[in-house]
Amino acid sequence: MWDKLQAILPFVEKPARYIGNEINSVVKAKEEVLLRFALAFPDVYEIGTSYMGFQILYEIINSIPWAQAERVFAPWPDMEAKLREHKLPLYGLETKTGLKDFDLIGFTLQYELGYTNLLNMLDLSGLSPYARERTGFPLIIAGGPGALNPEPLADFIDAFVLGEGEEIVPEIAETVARGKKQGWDKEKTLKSLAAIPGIYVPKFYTPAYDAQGKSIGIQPMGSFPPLKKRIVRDFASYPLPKKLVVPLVQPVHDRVSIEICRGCARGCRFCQAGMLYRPVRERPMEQLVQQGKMLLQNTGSSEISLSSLSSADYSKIEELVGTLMASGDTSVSLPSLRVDSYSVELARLTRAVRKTGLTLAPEAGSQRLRNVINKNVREEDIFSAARAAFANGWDNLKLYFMLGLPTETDGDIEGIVRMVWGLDKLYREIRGNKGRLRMTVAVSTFVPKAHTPFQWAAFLGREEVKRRQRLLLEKLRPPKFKVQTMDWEESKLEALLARGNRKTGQAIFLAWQKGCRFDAWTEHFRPQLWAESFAQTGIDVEAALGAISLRAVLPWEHIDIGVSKDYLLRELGRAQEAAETPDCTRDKCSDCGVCAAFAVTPLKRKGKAECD
Amino acid sequence: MRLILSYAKLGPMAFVAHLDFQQLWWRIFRLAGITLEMTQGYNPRPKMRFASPLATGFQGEGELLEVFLEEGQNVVERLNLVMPQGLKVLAATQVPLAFPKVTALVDALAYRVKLPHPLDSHECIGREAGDYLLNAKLEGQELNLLLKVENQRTIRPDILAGACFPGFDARGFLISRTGIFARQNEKISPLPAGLLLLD
Repeated sequence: MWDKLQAILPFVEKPARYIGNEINSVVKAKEEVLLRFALAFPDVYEIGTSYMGFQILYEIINSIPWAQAERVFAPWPDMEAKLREHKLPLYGLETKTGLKDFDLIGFTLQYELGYTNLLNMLDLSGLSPYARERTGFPLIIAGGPGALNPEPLADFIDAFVLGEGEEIVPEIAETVARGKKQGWDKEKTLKSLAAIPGIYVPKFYTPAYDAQGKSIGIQPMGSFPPLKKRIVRDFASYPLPKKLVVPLVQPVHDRVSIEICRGCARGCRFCQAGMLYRPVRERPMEQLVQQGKMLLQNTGSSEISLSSLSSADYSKIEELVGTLMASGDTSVSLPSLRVDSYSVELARLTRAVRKTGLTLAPEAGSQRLRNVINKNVREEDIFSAARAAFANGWDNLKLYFMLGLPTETDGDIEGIVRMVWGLDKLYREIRGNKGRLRMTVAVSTFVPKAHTPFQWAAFLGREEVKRRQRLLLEKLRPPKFKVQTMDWEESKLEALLARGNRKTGQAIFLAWQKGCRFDAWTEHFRPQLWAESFAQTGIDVEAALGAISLRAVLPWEHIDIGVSKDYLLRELGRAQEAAETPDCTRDKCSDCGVCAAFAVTPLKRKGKAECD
Repeated sequence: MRLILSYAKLGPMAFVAHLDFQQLWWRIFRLAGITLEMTQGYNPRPKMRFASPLATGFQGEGELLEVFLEEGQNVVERLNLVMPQGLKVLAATQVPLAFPKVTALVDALAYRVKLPHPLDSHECIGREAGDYLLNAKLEGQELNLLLKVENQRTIRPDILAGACFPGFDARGFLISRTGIFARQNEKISPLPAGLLLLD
């Protein structure tokens, strides 16, 4: 295989994406390996290698003596062309084994716009994208947030893994290995997998539609455990990975990352991660310090990122940052900060070396709309955060907002303009005539997501989004301000896939067949082909993007993430009244149901958050 | 202390681009627990100099790298312990702080080009090469080239070999750099292991 690769790699961009051979990658002797398990990321190498989830699973699988985990990423179109031209299969980076010769291929579904890449990777492996046409092995499984609305991919995936992978993935490996030793066929193996809590095998379930083509629910054909996501039994004591594969092509973020807490209880009503990753759990500080240092030692990295959905909320965050920084040349980064001065002070602590910009996400321009989305941020929090930033020498500020949120009016958009001008004025007051503020206003379009309080909300139409974008662009002009807007067509596709049902899968298949790849990359995104594909399936796109009736059975209704539908409905109601719901780790329980669903003791953090 | 390392970059590692390769070396030194001296200034970087960057896709059989260290015990063994497959340190030579820069030592580069089919003569490359071609030798399906470096400029071996194969995409040659050469010069003392001398 290497000889053949050597002949095509000189002709592709960034060939090191396709060679494996990284520090800490694991290659086992062929005769030791009973089970070959591919971890497949449906995007390019530099994106996929930054994804910590696979680094964790890679170590877990490779710690099983008879299992070999290998990694595979979506080949860039130039490499795809070369593989097809030379009739070479897509292969695992570790041993260059063609994917067809694996026992399991596990995809992670981190965002919807990777779905055509997934189909393409199966095709490049010599496998049919359709599960029913694959009679033998490998089994194709998929996990990650996308697996919690699995229906759009249900025709392609043999088994979905619901929730956290640390404990269930070894169970899957053992089941498939046992079947392999005993000569089970695909059907028998899938039956055994379906008996594991947290596994959804779509072929054992049947979807039903009403006369209008709306899903009326998915029913099991037989007796299986409830389709409830899994969580790690004891997150606090679950070890962090000891080693990380060090990519050979400069990744987006060149640093090691440790997950300090999982879940977020702030309860933003648009945020899918905030619902999916509950309950909130923290790792003890001593473990983080010790394992963080070991990771730095084992990777030769000097920067450590403290990852979580809201890093500043970690109970001992200051102490943790201080301890890590105290050990010499280590720099620490905090990827997800709250909008308040406390977070900015924290960021200042960590910025010993570099002066990068500061990013804050107020999400909405008026207090009313921030209450609607439960952002729990006041105008004064934003200004005190900016004051702290400007006073500490930051000249680079990036603000994130969303357009098209439920109940948004022109007044809310004017609120963004006022806020941005107000921040500009504040900078002048603090810095006088010295310095020049560079402010970037990044505006995305609200996309309703499954399992959130806003899952029933409409996705806003093109003309209206363009008009609202223009309101901002006209009043926040360059060179003083830089406004970045999101392409509406891309957001629309995300909306269609994020709330899709089994029929949506047909459109994904057609789009892939017509040549759609790398839909998350603007230079490769082909909205026209997608429009044709949806038209061919007969899906009513307008209806699919509109508000969903509260009485409708949702396409993901059969998947239980532990957060109750009752809570989501209550939160939607509170949104309509612009009523806030407090963070349950610092205030009263909002009864989302997740702690009871998993029999965990609710995490309580000291004191109220500064911004409350 | 100042060290000149001789190393090989073979097999898959040939496809690691120069900037990524530089990052990889930084990582390797940190993994080996060897502290590199840093440059001064706003954005300090490890002091490290490659004799001549290798084009992506070329293998290197005897490459040279200059580094400045705080201590240099068993450097070769410590580095090889953490190296990915295909990368290997062959030797390390301590040189005085006043030694010429490793980039200034390079007077010629030798390459071995694997040809798509044997040639009767290498005359076809003559015109393209101008003054840069010091020597060419055909051995079956291999073409060995010795190319001059002047003011840190030289010519690419794939372009030269390509002149003999019209219509062939020159990126398709398998190329190894077999050696880095310096002219005889009394300033080069001691002679770093891995640096070859032109006769």
